Amino acid sequence: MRRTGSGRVGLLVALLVVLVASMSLGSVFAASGDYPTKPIQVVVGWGAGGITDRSARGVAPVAEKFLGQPWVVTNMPGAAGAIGAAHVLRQNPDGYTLLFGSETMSIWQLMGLSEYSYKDFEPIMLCTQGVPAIAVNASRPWRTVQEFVEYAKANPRKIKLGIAGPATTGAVAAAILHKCLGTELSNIAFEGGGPAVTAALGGHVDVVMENLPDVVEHHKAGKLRILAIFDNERMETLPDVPALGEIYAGTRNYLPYGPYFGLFAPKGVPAAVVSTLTDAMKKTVADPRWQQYVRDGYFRSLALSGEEARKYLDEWTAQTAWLIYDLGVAKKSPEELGIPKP
Amino acid sequence: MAVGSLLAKAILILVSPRMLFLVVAGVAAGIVVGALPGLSVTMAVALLTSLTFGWDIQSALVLMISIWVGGCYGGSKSAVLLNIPGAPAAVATGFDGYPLARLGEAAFGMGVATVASCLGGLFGTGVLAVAAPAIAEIGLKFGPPEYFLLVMWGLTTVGSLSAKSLSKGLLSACLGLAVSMVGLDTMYGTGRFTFGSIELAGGIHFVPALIGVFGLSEVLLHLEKRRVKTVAERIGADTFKRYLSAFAKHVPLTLRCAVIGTIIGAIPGIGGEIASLVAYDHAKRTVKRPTRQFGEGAYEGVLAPETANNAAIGGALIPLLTLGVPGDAVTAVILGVLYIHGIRPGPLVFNQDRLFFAVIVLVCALAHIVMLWLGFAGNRWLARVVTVPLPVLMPIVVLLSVVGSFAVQNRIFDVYLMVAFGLAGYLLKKADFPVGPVILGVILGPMADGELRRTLALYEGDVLRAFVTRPISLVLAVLVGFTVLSQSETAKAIVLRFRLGFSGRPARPG
Repeated sequence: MRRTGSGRVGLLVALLVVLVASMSLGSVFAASGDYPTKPIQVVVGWGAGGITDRSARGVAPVAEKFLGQPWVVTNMPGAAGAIGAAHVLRQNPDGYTLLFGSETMSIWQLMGLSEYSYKDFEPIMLCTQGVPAIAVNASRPWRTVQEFVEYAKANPRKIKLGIAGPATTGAVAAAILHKCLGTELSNIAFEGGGPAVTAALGGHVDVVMENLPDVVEHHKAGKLRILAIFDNERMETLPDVPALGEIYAGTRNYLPYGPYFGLFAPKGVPAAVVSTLTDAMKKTVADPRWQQYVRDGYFRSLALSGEEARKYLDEWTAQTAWLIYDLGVAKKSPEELGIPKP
Repeated sequence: MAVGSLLAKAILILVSPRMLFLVVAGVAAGIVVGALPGLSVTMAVALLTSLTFGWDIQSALVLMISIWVGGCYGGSKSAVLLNIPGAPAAVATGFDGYPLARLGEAAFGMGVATVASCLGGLFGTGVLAVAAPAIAEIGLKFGPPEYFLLVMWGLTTVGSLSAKSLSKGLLSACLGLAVSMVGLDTMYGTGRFTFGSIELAGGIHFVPALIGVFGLSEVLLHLEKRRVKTVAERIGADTFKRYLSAFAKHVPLTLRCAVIGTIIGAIPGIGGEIASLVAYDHAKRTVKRPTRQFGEGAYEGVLAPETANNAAIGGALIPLLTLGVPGDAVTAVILGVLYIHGIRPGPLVFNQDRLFFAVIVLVCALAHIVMLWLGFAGNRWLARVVTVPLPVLMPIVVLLSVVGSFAVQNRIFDVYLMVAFGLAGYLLKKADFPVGPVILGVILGPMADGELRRTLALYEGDVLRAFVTRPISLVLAVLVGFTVLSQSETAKAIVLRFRLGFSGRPARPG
């Protein structure tokens, strides 16, 4: 082995650093001509491995094909996604920094996490909606959703529900049950959906109400039992699991309930950029590879853009904000934020 | 299917130029990612999610696991050479690794880490291959009370890290715990010490803290001294004979640390960080006559945590493959990649698709062998870093610290935090406070807080029922109690008297 002088080593290390730095900073060349002419940074306000991150990285390869430029998916976790969103809003709105957002955008203000909300963004494409399910530990006695509901009504706060955090999907799902059917559970917050499901597997909590992909394998393996999904119709891929809306007509107005996932651009992005992005995303959600991903991931496809997307977001927010407010965990009232009662 | 034909099939899949290239490239990339603080294996594997979209699942798996193996071991490099752990699981490695380097034993220190990582990793893989379902069931039995006690057990390591004064060590740990409370609480989302700033609401990530307290503070200390030219004059000999004698002497210790790593790794949500701390603590307690005092360059203090953190890989794969439960951040991302490829690991896949499982076990073993080879090839060359003149090395460390703290969450705020922690670490070191416990507090604080509050919520405040009536928590509670009490002077005096009593002298009642 040849001896390298210490100077060479230093130089190599310095080169390595420059390389790494340039990777994370992306291209610094000024753009000119037609959008997009350089890679697009897509910010995810959550850590790697979560459902939002998985959705963003699942869309990326398909969307890149139609946009002609790579997506650089960047995780900026913290404050339920608000930190990543704040970063996107601080950038120059040129369409090269976008947000792959999820349903928490609707409730940041309510929870006092941020002064921003989904209204500061232009929805390019709402891709999917998650489908939460009531999944109980298999050793628990409830075989049907009716038995579960009756028990929860007769024994208030006896059933322990594992949720992914305050005001997350599971908490809102439980609030829907509470409002429509009068059930009372006691919520135990974990650090995300994964740990909550694990606790249900181990029998440390009785039930979770997380998205299907997080519980469906355990249901098939007989470790958890899915009693119902938060929807009015059954899933094609899970025909033997009842939908809550078929059993309890009183819940139909609140269903289908679930977190949304989609691509957002900050307000102030040129109209031409929005239309380029929207066209590409329309092709993306129609792509068979993406539809396969949606099916395999037990999502509902939304495929909403423009005016439809805005309407969906307003309705979703109004409904959920008031539910969370009634839960008593909100830091502000929806009224003062100008969110109408549904 | 018979085990023999299964293995043959798995080997056939792996023995192709493409797969072998992926293993070597993956391990090499992993070592680089692991050695650079702020670049994490989680991030590297997340990048592969989109990259491997069009690949077959086996290639994607091979690459991910190889990167993970390399990354888990790579963290020891920077810990030994610069006292900046490249990954949280390497924090304990630096306690004795860096003193070793300063004594002119950098190559040997990194070599011990290499051999230990390989042995630990192979042990963990072996356990994964033969006892996965049984261990997975044990892992599920851990609920919030057990997690809380485990974290407490990790925190008792403070005693081992405070060589000079226990009270100073405890103060440092409390400082870390206090810092870790900043941000939104997990139960209600209430802001703590956020002062209305969204940046602080995001919490204080441990990586900027780690880089500042260990790395930048070291640079500041060197700024004061005028005479020092390099970290060490020599890199030391690293001959095969030395490793053989070093490990031959500690076969039982290596085995025990590998068991610790595998078991702790198999508990969902707890990974190499706690495993390596507990192993270091265990080594310090059980090794009667270390080569040097722990904390001053005992190679046993490198052997123990490095064995444990790679053993934790095999451990973390156990719940992932048998139950479909991600054990830590890396396995959560791997799970995501498997989803994209249409595979949803769990009991069904585990029982039906044995080939898939066999391939993973083999890749894990192969990657550790490749890691041994790459590690040794690079060690002699890398060890020269300690002989680089400080005026050249220190600016590079600063640069690495800035890039590393930024890269972890892509937040410039984290760079400011890193600088603040660097100053704090400098002051602590000046005042002779150990800085290890600070990081311990920052890493373990949020878990301790969340798990304790979950325990109280689940058991409606009945602490006795939570911690004493459940078998695992009882054992853990006794362990924690024993660990704390056995360090006290009173306990030592009692043991001494007990022994004197056996040697024929009348034991006075005390």
